Amino acid sequence: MNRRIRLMALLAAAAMLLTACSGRGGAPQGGSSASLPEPPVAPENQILGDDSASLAREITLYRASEAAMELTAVIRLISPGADGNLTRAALEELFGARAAIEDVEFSSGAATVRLPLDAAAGRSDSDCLLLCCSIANTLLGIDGVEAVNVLSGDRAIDICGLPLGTFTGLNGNIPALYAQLQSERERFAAGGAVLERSACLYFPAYGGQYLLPEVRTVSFPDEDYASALIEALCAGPQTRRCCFSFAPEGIDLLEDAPHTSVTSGGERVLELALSPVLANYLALSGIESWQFYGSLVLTLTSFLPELDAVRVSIGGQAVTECDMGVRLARFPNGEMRRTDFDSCAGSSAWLYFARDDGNLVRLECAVSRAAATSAGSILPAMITLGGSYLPDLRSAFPEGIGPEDLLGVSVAEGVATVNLSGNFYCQCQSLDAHGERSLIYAMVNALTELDGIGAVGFLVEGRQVESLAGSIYLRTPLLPDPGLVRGYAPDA
Amino acid sequence: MAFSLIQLVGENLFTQRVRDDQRIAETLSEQIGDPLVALDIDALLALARGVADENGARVLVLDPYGVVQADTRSELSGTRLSNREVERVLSGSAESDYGFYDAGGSGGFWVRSALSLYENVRSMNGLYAQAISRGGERVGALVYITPVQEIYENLRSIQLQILSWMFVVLAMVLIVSMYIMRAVTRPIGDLSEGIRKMSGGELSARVEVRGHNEFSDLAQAFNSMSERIEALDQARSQFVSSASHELKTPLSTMKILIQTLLYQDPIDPGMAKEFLNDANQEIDRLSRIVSDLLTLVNIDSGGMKLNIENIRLRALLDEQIKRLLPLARENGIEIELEARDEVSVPGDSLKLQQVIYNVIDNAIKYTDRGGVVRVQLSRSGKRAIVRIADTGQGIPEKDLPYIFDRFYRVDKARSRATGGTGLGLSIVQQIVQLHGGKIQADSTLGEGTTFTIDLPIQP
Repeated sequence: MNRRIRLMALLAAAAMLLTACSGRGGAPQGGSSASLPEPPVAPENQILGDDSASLAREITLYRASEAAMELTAVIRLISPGADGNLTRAALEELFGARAAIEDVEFSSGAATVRLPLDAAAGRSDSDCLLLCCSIANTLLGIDGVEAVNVLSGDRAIDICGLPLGTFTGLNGNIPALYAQLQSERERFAAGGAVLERSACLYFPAYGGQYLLPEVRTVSFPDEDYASALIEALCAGPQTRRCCFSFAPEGIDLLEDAPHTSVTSGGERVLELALSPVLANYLALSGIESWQFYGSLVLTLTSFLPELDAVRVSIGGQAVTECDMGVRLARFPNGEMRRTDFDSCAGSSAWLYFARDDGNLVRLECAVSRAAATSAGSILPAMITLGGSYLPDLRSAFPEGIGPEDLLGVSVAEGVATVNLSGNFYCQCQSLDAHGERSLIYAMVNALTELDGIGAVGFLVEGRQVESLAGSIYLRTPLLPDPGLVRGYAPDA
Repeated sequence: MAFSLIQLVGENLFTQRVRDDQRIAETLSEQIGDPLVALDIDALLALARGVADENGARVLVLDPYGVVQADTRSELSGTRLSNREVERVLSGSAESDYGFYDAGGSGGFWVRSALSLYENVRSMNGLYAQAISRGGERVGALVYITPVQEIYENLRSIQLQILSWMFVVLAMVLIVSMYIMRAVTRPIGDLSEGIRKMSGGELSARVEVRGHNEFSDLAQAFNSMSERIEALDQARSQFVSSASHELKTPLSTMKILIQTLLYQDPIDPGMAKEFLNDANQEIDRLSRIVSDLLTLVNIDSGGMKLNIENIRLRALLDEQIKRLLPLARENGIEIELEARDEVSVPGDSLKLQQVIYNVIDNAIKYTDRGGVVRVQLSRSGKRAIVRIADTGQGIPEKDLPYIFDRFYRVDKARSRATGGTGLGLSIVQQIVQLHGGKIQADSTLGEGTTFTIDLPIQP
């Protein structure tokens, strides 16, 4: 009996002790009767296509006043045109007529504006400068435009006998700029002075589809601008990591100094006699010939004033045709024109690829000019490029998903809403948490790289879903997560 | 008390941390509202990372539905955080709230934590949720997370130390209690066992005496009592044995005499007379033995009452010598009295007469013819000394300690021949002791024996 009492006393003491041990020690506890608010149920919205192009933006237009040699800034709300080209719409608004602009090629931050061939005709140098500055200032005020190149027809414009080059900054005081150009002309003509201009250098991009421009300051010691530009091209891209050089550095590419000839039709053609070594190099390096010629022609015609075409001979052999991959381009009389390579000029966009740990790799990739600025095209581009862009990259999209599974994109108030297909949803069901996160944030981050998009929401067949695979909540728009991006060595 | 103290210290530390977190979270939530509404992730993250890096913390920015829109560690982006704190803030129940979570296992903040020995918290974090409002509208919540594992570890360490000490103290208390219980109950158990054995007749049972306390005194008293009871029992047995033997002897003698007479045919008158005379003597002897035994029983049972009076010893000695003088003369022995002092003692006259008579009678019986019995009376301080010395054979030294024992005889044949019962000296000693005195015998073999009776003059 006594033993029982002792045992019970011991057990009671131990129980009291252990109960005391489970004290909270300052950690408050308690249940919660509150619950999270639920997002409002959105009606079914079957988004098809891409309406992001219609997003209006405030743009400052710099209108020229020829009498006073000055620019007047006017702010207008401008929507992109049917082709989604905001730069063209801005210029049309600037000039008040579509006919004033032939084309605006926007590629990787560089806008190349082609005015009608006679746009500069009959204008004084100062008026031409005023016109170019009006265009450049207007376009440089648009998000994403870093450089502006103005052509008259396919010809670069010269002012005071000097190439104008590429505009990279706003110019407010036109008379002062004009005076500076005149002074430069005098010093350059006298010899000894080095002319420095920003130039659009076109380089072949990885992926083998596009040529991308890189705006760079090039020094010209004399009027042989072509040699200086070719030398700069051979040095390779400096900032555009998605491109590569078409020629090894150190090779003397030119057999003779370039010279300009005038055809019977009055067209100015640049004659380039290239070393026969180049042919072997191109064959061995795997660089497509169109990439080489396209880089040359686009670069030279964007800068050299009054140049209509480029004629290339390699080892004395005139180049009259070129395999463009899907077609064979022929160059009558060996004259390669800018229009022959217009379609090769692509653009760059920041695309996201998956890592096995659920993080992302952010890479600048060459895409079509439309895809670079269109929410509806950027995601299909990511699916298309996927793992083929570089061998050790993995697409964030699971297998079985194609561009057609992105049914549409709509942008409103900074939020892009992506409508996914039922197949897209089904293919995502087997994703783990890392895979789902990679997929969602690859899309969100890529779309929010575009101007005017700050968050991304998702629908499946027009309806809200809780999640694709259970981890990421999709009933509210998501902000991008730059912290998911990890380093990647593209040179590898 | 120890645990209350721990809890108090813990709550103080945690409360301080919560206050710091609150201050930071409130400031940040005011700044972060604009970029959140403007969907400006760069500005939002710059603010959040600045605060997070500065304080070693983690910041989550949630939309009004609890979805993580920005995480400075990019681990929970896109997930819906449904902690109690977030729920309370986003539901409008509170402007801010806080809690503690173990993020060790999952890396998330779903396991609420507490300071406990049961749980092995690997990464304890404080989570402070603060509403983000713009223009009076709740546009989201900011969650500010700071590691508090260090505070937790310190508290847990203190808790474990105190608990360990408590167990040690408890163990010591138990050991001491058991020792005390053992010290108390064991002697009682031993004593109880001893009593049980004694009541069962095992008079030799003793208990072990340990230490020097009340229990050892009790054990010692028990042992003393046991020894005395055992000695008494042995004495009783011996007394019964001796008494039986002494009673049987005259009866046997008488039986032989009577049987001899019965078998005589015709009976010789002379022999018959002689035998009857012998039988009569045996009867007398038997009567004396019984009388002495009754006297002793009377003394042992405390039934003997002394009739105390002031007795002049010289007169008493004179009277007894006179009574024995005929016997002395018959045996050719002289009796000399030497009384130096006139001494009176309180006592029972008859009993003291019996003492003196018996001792002198013994001296006469064991002194050969021509011997002398000297009786001396003296005073020594407050005591009266009576010495009765003979010039007899003396008592062997080995017998001297036992001469006052009942039925002890130095020379059994002579004793019986002289009509002794073997109880005389025992009775003498008992009477002297009843008077508060003592008696001792000194003897030298072949020279004689001296009995010294020491009596108090005043009671």
